[in-house]
Amino acid sequence: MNQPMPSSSQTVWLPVSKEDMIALPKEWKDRLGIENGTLVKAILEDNRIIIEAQSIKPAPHRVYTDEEIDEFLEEDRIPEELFQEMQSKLSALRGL
Amino acid sequence: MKVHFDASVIIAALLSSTGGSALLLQFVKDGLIIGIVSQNALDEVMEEDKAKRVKRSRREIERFIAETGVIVMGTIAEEEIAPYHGQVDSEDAYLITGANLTGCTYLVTLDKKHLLRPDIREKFLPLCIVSPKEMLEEIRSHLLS
Repeated sequence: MNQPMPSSSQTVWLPVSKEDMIALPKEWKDRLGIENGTLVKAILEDNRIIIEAQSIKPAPHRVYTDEEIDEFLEEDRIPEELFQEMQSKLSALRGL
Repeated sequence: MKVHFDASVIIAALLSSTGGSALLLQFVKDGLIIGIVSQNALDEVMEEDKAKRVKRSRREIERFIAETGVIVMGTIAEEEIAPYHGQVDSEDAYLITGANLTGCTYLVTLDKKHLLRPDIREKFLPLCIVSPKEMLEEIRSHLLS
């Protein structure tokens, strides 16, 4: 038989500073892995504010080397005529 | 026209104001195309070594992105790239995911080695994987003709 899960909710009263800052209890930050300087998600729901730690594991991204960046810059070169033509068309559109 | 950018395009635009990437971002700034980049790509751009290479602080890079008018989508999670497992390198899967999730027609990259390859381009059609120069030619033929 399934046992009901024990509630893990806790409540604290937190002061709001004159600068609108609210400090989270250190124990909560540690438990949720919230580090200073990172973002948390705040959700306003009726008369409640829910703060969620970022729990997603980001998909991996490629780490480019200096040589690869040099190759990108080479690939990024465009003919002078194309650059001038597109610039002048942009200017014309801005003037509309 | 919705266009998804990878980190290489943003890095190139930061390094060269006369390249195709910088010009492309001007079209975004002027509202002629919608440009989207994921937080994953920006994480790569803002890594400490890249910030040194582009000679800009993290804050300056953030300002640059904000001024281009490019829309930044949230971090793509590892589980979201699962449908592309085995079809593309895992480090590139978030780009295909991001472009498809945001309904982009184009994915713009300068990465010839991993993405601007005939097999990869064909595999993810109708998403068009193009270089900035090819994208500019698309804009010229569709928007400016």
